[in-house]
Amino acid sequence: MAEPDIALGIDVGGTFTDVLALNRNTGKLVSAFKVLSTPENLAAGAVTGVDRYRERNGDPAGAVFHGTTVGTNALITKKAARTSLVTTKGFRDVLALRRHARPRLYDLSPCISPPIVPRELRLEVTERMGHEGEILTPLTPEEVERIIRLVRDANVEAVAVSLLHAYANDAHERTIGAALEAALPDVFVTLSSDVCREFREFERTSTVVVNAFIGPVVQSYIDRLGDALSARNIPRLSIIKSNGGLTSAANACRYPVHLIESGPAAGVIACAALGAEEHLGDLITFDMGGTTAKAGVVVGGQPKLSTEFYADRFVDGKDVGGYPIQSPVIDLIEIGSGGGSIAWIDTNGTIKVGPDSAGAQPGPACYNRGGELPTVTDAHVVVGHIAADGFGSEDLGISPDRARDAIASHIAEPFGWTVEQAAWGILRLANASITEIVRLATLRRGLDPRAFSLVAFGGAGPLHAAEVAREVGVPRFVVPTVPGLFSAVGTMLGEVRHDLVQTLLRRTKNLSKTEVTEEFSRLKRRTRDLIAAENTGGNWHFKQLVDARFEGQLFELTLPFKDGETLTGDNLDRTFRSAHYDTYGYDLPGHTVQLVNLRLVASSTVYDGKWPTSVTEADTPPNRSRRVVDEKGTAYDVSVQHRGVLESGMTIQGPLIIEDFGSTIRVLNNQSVEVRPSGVLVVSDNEVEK
Amino acid sequence: MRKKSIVHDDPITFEVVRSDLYAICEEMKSVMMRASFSPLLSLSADLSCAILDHKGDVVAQGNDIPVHLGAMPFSAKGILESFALDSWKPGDAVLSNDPYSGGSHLPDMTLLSPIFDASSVVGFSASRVHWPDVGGSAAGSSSVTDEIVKEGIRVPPVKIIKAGEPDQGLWTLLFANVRVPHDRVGDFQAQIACNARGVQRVSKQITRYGGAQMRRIFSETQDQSQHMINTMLDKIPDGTYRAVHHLDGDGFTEDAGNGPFGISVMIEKRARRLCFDFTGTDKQAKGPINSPFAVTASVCYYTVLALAGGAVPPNSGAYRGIEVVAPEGSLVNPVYPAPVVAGNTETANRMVDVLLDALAPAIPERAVAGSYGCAGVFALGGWDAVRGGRFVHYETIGGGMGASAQGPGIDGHRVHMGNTMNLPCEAIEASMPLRIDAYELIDGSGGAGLHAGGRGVCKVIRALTDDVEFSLLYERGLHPAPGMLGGEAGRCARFAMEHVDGTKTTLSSKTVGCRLMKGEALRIETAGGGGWGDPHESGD
Repeated sequence: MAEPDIALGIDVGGTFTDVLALNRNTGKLVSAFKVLSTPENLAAGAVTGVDRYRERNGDPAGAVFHGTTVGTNALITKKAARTSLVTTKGFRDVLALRRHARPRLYDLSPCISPPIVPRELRLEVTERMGHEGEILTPLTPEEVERIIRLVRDANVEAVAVSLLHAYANDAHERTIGAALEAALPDVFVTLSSDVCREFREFERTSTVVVNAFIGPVVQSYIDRLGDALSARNIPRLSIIKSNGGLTSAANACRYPVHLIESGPAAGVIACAALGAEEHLGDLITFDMGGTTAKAGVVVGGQPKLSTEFYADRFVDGKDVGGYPIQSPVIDLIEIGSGGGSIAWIDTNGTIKVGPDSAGAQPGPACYNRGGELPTVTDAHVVVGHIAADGFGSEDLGISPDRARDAIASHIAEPFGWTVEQAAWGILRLANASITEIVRLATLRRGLDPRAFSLVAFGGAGPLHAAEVAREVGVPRFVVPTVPGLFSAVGTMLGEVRHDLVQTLLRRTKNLSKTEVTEEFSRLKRRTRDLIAAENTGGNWHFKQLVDARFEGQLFELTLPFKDGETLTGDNLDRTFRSAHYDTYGYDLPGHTVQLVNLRLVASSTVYDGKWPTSVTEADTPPNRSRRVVDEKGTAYDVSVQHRGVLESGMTIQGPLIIEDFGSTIRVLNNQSVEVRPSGVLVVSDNEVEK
Repeated sequence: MRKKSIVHDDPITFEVVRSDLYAICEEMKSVMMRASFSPLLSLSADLSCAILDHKGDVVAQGNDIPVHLGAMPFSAKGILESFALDSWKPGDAVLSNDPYSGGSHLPDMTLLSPIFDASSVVGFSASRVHWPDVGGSAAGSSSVTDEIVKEGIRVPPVKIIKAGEPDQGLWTLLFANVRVPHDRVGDFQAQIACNARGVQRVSKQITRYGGAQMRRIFSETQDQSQHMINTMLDKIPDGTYRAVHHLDGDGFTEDAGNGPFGISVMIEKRARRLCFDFTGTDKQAKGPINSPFAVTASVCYYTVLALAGGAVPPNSGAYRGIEVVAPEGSLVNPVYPAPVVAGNTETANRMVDVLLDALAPAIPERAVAGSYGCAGVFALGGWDAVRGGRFVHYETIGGGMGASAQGPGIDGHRVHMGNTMNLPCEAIEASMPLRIDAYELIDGSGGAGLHAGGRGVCKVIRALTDDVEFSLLYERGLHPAPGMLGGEAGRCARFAMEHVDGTKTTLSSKTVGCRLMKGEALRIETAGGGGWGDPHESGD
């Protein structure tokens, strides 16, 4: 029997669990809503979302696509497994020694992320591999026995095995792993060579240790969710990984470390899919919720990935180093600036916004739930961006008086400013810091924002997009349908993806004409088994990438090549030199260009139907106007429209406020909104030079 | 009344630009690391970036290396003495490494590139990069000699790039005097690109906000830091504070007592002025432990910024209330031709301990016990028979930091004046004929205390080929890191060669010209940090 058409996308966040129901046959969103998350048992919140859907709508769901922060939460709160590390003799302190640099320079009592595994649980084994995988000291059965005894006595729930040079030869890790699994079936066992096959012992060990540490928690979460779904006759559970790809429940349990940015990744995936559907070109993704803002990019239809991520890096706003994770993670710059970020005055008399957030409880002052401190949301309320009837949510009213009081007493009065002036001060500072993350995601990497569109989503994204885009110099921004639940859309749009790498250390001048093409063919053949096992039924796409550098450099530039493109040494040499010139501003004519890796990415979309169209809403309020105060203190009436009444093909000039389900969209003077047939809004800015 | 300032007129623009300036420094560093050829730069990040004003004062700097950053204005001012402001053209760049013209030691090459508005120089994009080799008598330019001429090529301020075009004569001369010039050229091109990125980014700000506005922000950013430091200085009681510590030796002479290598300081705190007077410090040494004045000053700057706890945006404004008196011809202000290569790495860290020891009675709640007292530099090189080429290796090792009222000292990290990263053991073994037998913390090496000192590090490096020549530049082999307020001293550093027959040869903390034969190992054990508070009170 075919899987039912309805798929549920569920994005579990710190405050809210977002649920979307999509008919995969018609491409229609049949339901979209938020339920409160249940921090003490996140699986329960997700299951509540499923049940709420069933109450609202009788159609059976065939699959759940899921983004989760359960792994990150376990890591950050350290409420995870008692974990042991088995490592090569002489190297048990790698986790403590790190890369031996301190995260903060001027600090006489520096704080550094403590090793996840305490010293007494870091166990040394006598064995040794060389860097080419040669066995220098064999692993004896007696050693294996001894290690098993030690692990058993340690009474741990998880074990990470990380041996020196295991990326080159995993035989010893596999022997120890198999013996541990046989002797201690209830313990979560994970190997560095399985999780992270890369050199650099600290980063690899850290990755596998995080995998072990959060392993049992994630496993139990996914098991509980899977069981609940089975009990409700929902056959399939797919989890979104930090790299934006989808994975099965079984693989998610084996590699929980790959889920560390699962939630945020979903939003970027949604942007990539939206961009393809609406032909938007290269994108800046801008996601702003209650406590954080995140920026990333999608170039050539692909989200930008970074290969290294530092989890739990900031404690009380201070950089403590964090735990490196070597696994492709959608590259996002994140800061603690959201709608709930608190504004304050430092000892030097400067206004600061964040990183402290009022969160959902007590929330911004205007929520009238006990919050006393002024937040970014309060500033929006004071200047008129957010109406007193608020977010269109039944259980949340807005009190403009509370917002004014909080800003007056904490910011305006100390400076002798009007409340509106102070509110704009808060908004400009919030804009400055979120503008900086957009710059970090683009300019700092040599990407010209003038060639991008910015996609704004999350509860607060569309409120700030107009100014952020203008400030950075992005000529247009885009607001998708259901911007407040856009990440949940993304959970359903990910692709099943396999990344294959083949190291090919060759000087371009020594390459034979067909060598690279042949290697890529060989890589393509290796993907056949993997594809067969996935059973997605969809079309598979292949992408060829070449990592190259000047011989002697340690970092490569990755060059994309289309299928069928000439891959001769001459062409690779030219392409690299031109990319190096574009990135760094010079070529080194006397230096040799060297290939390092060939990468083949095979991917298949799970949902390749139409772009989801919006939920139709029952009643839409009439258009009206509202008094707002601008940056210069001038008050004027601005037109307020409800998104539900906008018609396809319309073009509307700013200034304008568009109210949407769970979010407010601001459009400034000299910006104009185009309403696409899909309901997507594209806002062009005439003040930005293209 | 405060004068009218942009901080008060337009605090938002001020904050936006100021944050961006710090972000620009980070961006410059990332260009340098990604494009360079040496692991010392791309993996260890032995480099620092800053934006300076037209006087050569630091406006903003990266999260880099304190000894580079504090000394940067001295190099910049040395350069500006040779090249007056009106002599600069867009696209110029001046290079210098001269410790006798504001530099720290020869491997640290400072490059300055001007940033213009419509009329004149607004400031400079600056980088200080540790070149893995600048010639001299030993591979890695790290050795014990008796004059600076033997330490490598000395580059007084020279305009190496004129309006975007390299001076071919200087270029040829420079790269004829360093080892592995092919890689050094690649590194230097990356350094030029790093500076160019800084110029490009700040120029965009100038286009947007105007040169006059940017000059005000440059100046008020410094005023603000000065103001914040003043607040901190107000909490230190006025008085005169003293301490004397002694170094292990200079590579020619060793001394476990109060011998010829004493660093003496008298710190006078009066209102918002802090004077560090090194009168009484011993005369300059024959070996390379001498600390040029710029390094000595940057030790004082670091100490003050660190006492402020990292909350003050670091720039030259923070240094205005600090005076440094260092007698000419002494260990802390040597005169030509004293060698200086270890002043910057080893002596500088010992000096921080002297200053913190002196200030302890004034600020017991922020006092820190002694730390491992060096960067822990070892360099080695030879002929790699397996790969068929010469190899050079330069590395630093962490050690124990001193404990404080806040908690125990950190284990096995770089402390105080340096902050490069280590090289992964897997990377070392993959690129050189060496094997690392152990890289671990030394149990019991931190001094006991209510809060224990941080532990030192043991690293054992085995040669897989004959004739591997090495040098060690360390400290605290003879003088342990002192404890504080009843805390005990940390364990001393130890160094040994382990021979194939199982015997050992003990080495001194400054060792040069030794060779490992195939199968022999070098064992380095860095010192532990001192404890803080009475150990018998612990375990309450």
